[in-house]
Amino acid sequence: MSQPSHVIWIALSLVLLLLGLSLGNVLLLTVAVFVLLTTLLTTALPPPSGIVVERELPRAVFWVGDTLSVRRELSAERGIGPIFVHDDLPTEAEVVQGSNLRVVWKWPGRLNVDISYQVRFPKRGLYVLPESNWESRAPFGASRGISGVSGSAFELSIVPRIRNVTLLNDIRVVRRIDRQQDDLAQTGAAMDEFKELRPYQPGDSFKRINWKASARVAGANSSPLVNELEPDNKRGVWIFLDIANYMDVGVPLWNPLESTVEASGTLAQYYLSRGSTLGAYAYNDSSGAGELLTPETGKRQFNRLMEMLTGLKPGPARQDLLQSVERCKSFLYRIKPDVFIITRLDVHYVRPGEDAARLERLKTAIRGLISLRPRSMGPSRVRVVHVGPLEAQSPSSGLGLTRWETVHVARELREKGAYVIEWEPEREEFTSVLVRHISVYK
Amino acid sequence: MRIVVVETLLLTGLLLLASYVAWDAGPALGLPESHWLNWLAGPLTWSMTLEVLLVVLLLVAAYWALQALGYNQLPFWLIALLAILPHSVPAWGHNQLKWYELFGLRLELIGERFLFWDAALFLAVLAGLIALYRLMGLRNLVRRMVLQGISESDRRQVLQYEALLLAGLLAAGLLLALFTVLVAALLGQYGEFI
Repeated sequence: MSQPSHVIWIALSLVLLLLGLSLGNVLLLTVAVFVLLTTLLTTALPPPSGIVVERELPRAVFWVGDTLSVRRELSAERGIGPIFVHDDLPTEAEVVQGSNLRVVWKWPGRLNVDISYQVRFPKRGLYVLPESNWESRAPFGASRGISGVSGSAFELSIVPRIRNVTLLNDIRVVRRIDRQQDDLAQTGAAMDEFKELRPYQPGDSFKRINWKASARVAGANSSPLVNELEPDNKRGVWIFLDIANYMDVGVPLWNPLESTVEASGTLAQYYLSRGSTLGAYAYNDSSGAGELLTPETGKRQFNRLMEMLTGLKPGPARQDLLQSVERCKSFLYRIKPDVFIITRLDVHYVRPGEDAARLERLKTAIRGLISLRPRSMGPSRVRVVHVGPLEAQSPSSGLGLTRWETVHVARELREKGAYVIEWEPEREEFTSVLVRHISVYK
Repeated sequence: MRIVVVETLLLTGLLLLASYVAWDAGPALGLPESHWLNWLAGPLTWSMTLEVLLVVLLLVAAYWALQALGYNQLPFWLIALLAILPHSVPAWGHNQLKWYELFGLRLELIGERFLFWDAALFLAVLAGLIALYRLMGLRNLVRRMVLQGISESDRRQVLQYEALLLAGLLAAGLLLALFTVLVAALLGQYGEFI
């Protein structure tokens, strides 16, 4: 008798039984038997046990917005009653079909039932699907249920969706001659010709450390030496991603942060497929330290970038572009890249009464990036991609405040020599923007 | 919502049945017509008064008020007491061992009582009380399932099977109780025969 109420029912039946026996009262005996039997029958029904939940996922890596089919099968051996099965999903997950929380009734005999569901992750990231929780309950809640966990936990990697760059590559073929004349950015990665030895700097690949030379000059305070290679004339590209909290506004699939990630991936795919060297730096992340992707080439670099993009989490705006440029300056000086800065320009607008230093620092950073290359090599190209937030539009509203602020900041940056691309993700894909602007790059 | 309606109907039925049994027991005790037991038992006679209906409605309202205040068990047991107590009078009429008369205690009911009718009424009340008690549990289960976000189809399935099991349980209990009465009646006849 695990439940106090059953004790009361049993006590009631025993009182009736004793009265019936002592008074020779058939009526009392009958009702006592009825109450006793129903209570005993109730408590005699055991909750379902021998429960196993088997779970399967088709793979561990998915694109943002993909629908994942979580195959789940519940089996139970003994008992009777309802079984609750619950998968704790990350808050970002959206169940699109079925349910992660199911309740299944079990009659006597073995139970096998498919309780699969489909889920979608509208935000990139690394997620964990813990084991399935189950709880069985006796009919009428007569006794305490049994609970447990079953199935295996899964780690999911939801990677940003990168748009197809075939269209851009077609344009590239047409403009190949122009590009060769124009691609003057120097790169310092994945080259063969040795140039000199230099001290190790944070961010250098360990593969570049010249251990023998380092051992020869080893001292108490000496850092290892790395091989500096002769740069060739491949294009170097650097992407600065602003991932501050102000980027993470709007619905998950249509917010500036996810669009920033998408744009970075698309740019990386485009330039890496052309043999360019690519580096990236994400500032204002949740750790506050920034995420650096040291410049490299090839598909492996693309995978490294995807890994970085997948794990990015927005944070407070503690860093600005100038600090980020300072952090990456050793790489920037070395590869003298074309630079993409992906941010929201409207947040840099200085309202009356606000400190203008923020915008000034942005302009200083852009000036510094433009002056990376000597004039003899042609102008350094700094492109600022403004990712517009989703703004409620009404036909009579005209130019919205955010738009107006963006236009104002964009004009100031253009005056400093930056090329500003205004992108409204809800209206067009980033590839379309690139196609439209690629002729201007020439 | 459906459970609440069923629970309310069952509760009202039990209270009306209790008032009927009380009304039935009044003459057996030799009580005057103006006695409160007769008044309480008015609903099932053709002279149902508004006052009696009002009392029943007030009791039902009090039951739900206490439920809303979070007292799940207390209102049920109060109702159980109100429903069972009137049956003590007809049950007394079926005593076979009247040892209390040895102590000068003579508590006889007026008129003949029918065992099957009294037993049927008592069993019906007890079956109703058990059903009411399980409905309370089902209501809590439904609330929990709604809070957890379980789909309506799953909830409906569980409720259907719980209700089915409850009906089976009551039927089995009644059958066994009926069997007990029959055996007791047979034994009684056998006793008279010898």
